Amino acid sequence: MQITKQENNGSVTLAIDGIIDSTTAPQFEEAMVEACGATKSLTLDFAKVGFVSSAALRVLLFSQKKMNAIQGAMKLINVNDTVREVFELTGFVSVLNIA
Amino acid sequence: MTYRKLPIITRKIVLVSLITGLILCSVVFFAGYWSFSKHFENQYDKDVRSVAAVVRDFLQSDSISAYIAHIDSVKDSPKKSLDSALLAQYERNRRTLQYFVDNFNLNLLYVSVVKGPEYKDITYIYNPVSKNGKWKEFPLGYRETYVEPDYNKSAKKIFEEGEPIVRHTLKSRSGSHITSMLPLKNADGKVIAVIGIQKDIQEYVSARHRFANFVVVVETIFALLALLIFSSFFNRKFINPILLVTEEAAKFTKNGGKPSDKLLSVNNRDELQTLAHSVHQMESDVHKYINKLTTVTAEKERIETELGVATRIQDAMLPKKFFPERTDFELFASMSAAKEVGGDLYDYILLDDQHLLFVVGDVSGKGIPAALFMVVVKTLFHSYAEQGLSPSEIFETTNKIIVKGNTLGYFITSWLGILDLATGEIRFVNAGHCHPAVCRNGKYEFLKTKANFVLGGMDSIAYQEHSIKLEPGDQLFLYTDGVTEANQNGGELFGEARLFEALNSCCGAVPEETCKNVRKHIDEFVQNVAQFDDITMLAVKFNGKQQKNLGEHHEKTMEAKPENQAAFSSFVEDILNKYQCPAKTKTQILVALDEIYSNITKFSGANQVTMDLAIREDTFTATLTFIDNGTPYDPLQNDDPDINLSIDERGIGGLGIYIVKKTMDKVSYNRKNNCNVFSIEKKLNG
Repeated sequence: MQITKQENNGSVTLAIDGIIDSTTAPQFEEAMVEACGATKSLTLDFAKVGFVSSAALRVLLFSQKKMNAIQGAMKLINVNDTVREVFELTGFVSVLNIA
Repeated sequence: MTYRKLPIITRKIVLVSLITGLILCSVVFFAGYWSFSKHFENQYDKDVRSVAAVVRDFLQSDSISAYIAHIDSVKDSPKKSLDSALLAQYERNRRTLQYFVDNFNLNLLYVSVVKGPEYKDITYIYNPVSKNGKWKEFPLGYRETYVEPDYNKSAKKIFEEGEPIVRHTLKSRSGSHITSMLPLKNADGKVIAVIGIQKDIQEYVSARHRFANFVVVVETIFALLALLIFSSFFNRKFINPILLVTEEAAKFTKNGGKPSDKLLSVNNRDELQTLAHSVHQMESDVHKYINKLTTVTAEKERIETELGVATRIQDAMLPKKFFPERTDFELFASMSAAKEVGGDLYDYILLDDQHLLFVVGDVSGKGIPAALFMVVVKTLFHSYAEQGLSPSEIFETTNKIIVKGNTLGYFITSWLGILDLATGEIRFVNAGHCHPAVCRNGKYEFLKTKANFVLGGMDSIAYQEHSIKLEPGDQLFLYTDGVTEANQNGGELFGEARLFEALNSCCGAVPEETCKNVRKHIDEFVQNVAQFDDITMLAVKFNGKQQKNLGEHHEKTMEAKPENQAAFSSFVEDILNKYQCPAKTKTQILVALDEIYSNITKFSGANQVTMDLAIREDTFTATLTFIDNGTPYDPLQNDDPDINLSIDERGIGGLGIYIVKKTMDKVSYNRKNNCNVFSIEKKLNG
């Protein structure tokens, strides 16, 4: 998994390439913790995310809560069908801001 | 020389010698003293008596009666009024008596009349005294009253009985002296006066005193000297060797168990030398034995370590994975060796998807020789089985090989069968082994066939094959004679009756339960008696044709570590790719794999995971089974998470399994053979 970070006027975009499962989740979590502490506007580009498992959900939930706490905004873009299905399945569509 | 406390034994001996010496000296002293006194007394007695006798003889011619009569007739100074002839005689005799006194060294001499009845009134007739003495002579007719019970008694005896008496007076008013009293009789034999001779014995008393002093001093000096010599001799000859033995014996362990050569310096030529030399010999022997024991112990430890390794090797050779993914049959087997390694064997091989081979055997003898033989036989069975030989062929070829070079005459009894999982038919061959039990219609019975000869006994033996058909639910129980011959303290054997009782008590049980139940019955029967034979059991239950998982099976086993997830994933992905599985389904299966596998590695404590992926081609269904040896856990028991909660209420627990349940067609959990078996099923073309 590869994560590319882009900063633009204080907003941060993370482009994730790969799958987020229990083995890659720690790396994803590390990037998210850093990003959540650095910006109030966070965009996650899921264009190249093949699938996510519950490990990814854990990180996303944790990050969303953190952004809510600092009144920041986090949105997911380019989510493919498989991943979207997981978000729908687990009710995460109502929790996350998915473009 | 350093001061050394006197040894207790020396102190005791000196004390005993002192007491003995004291008693001995006292006896000698008193005997000497007594003998001395007796001798002198007798001598003095004899002296004074003979002087008294001389005086009496001398006075026979005197006119004592006349003097007495005269004294009685006048009151004062009887001597003056005495007739001149009588006076002349009296004076002459008095001088003679004086002469006696002087020459016999007497204190005094008296001739007197003592009047009864109390015999205390004395009237003197003669009384010459020693010139150097302190006495004054009483003149003729002198009277005195002398009250002294001893004297009065003696006087009475003289006058009334006429008996002579010798009196010893020690330390009286007149010093120590001896007195001989003799009665003086007239012609009629009547006692008219008493003759008394008194001789000083102060000299004798002093002599006796000197004797006593001398004896005591000499005896003391001699005794001390003897004690000194005796003690030093005794010390050197006896105490020192004893002390040496004591000290050296005490030092023995301190010296690291080395014998002390000092002991050999004792050369008493008596029992002490024997003792010292025996102790030395004993120390040498102990030293030798300790060395020997150390070597033997080290050797024993080495053998035990090797035996431990052998136990583990043998244990590892017996398969332990009992096909948890199979539903068409179930199998369980166990072997517990009586010693570290055993001569029993069991084995089972899934020859192909349809044929299960299983075998139980018992090598004659026990321990390492039997174990070596067992390893050979098991390896041969296994390799011939894998070559696809029939049961009888396996036995025949194996027999041929082990007969060669079997000079020690070991043999093996064995029962081998191949179960056709499609039909339930078992083709089997029995080489001298005990008949297995088969459970049919809820009851166990013997599966008896004519047994062939044992393996390894004779060359070129043909082994006859038999067959039996199992119906679904039937179970076959194989065992070795360690089961039926498990014995109690009293020597009673477990026996076939008890075996059938145990088997029938849980007829429908799965094989693992069947074996454990029999084992439980054996343990209860034998109590805590150690068993001398290996106990081996193998049970196989035929469940009938496999409904699921038709088609290809793929299996992978790895350590339960997170790092191995990628390998498992690509293993599954590769197979799914082969079947042109749609990408979405594949992703869902891989997500499920991630969820389940990460759960196993995180929470189950398992150290090994097996994934079995079966693709059923008729229905185009994939079944992925996870088998782990972790703690029992059924994730399907938990409630589904509430997915409608707001973000602040949301937790992440249970989401993974929830995703699996939602994306897969079917999920199931089973606990089998101490393993968690979790299966997911997904139609590939859905």
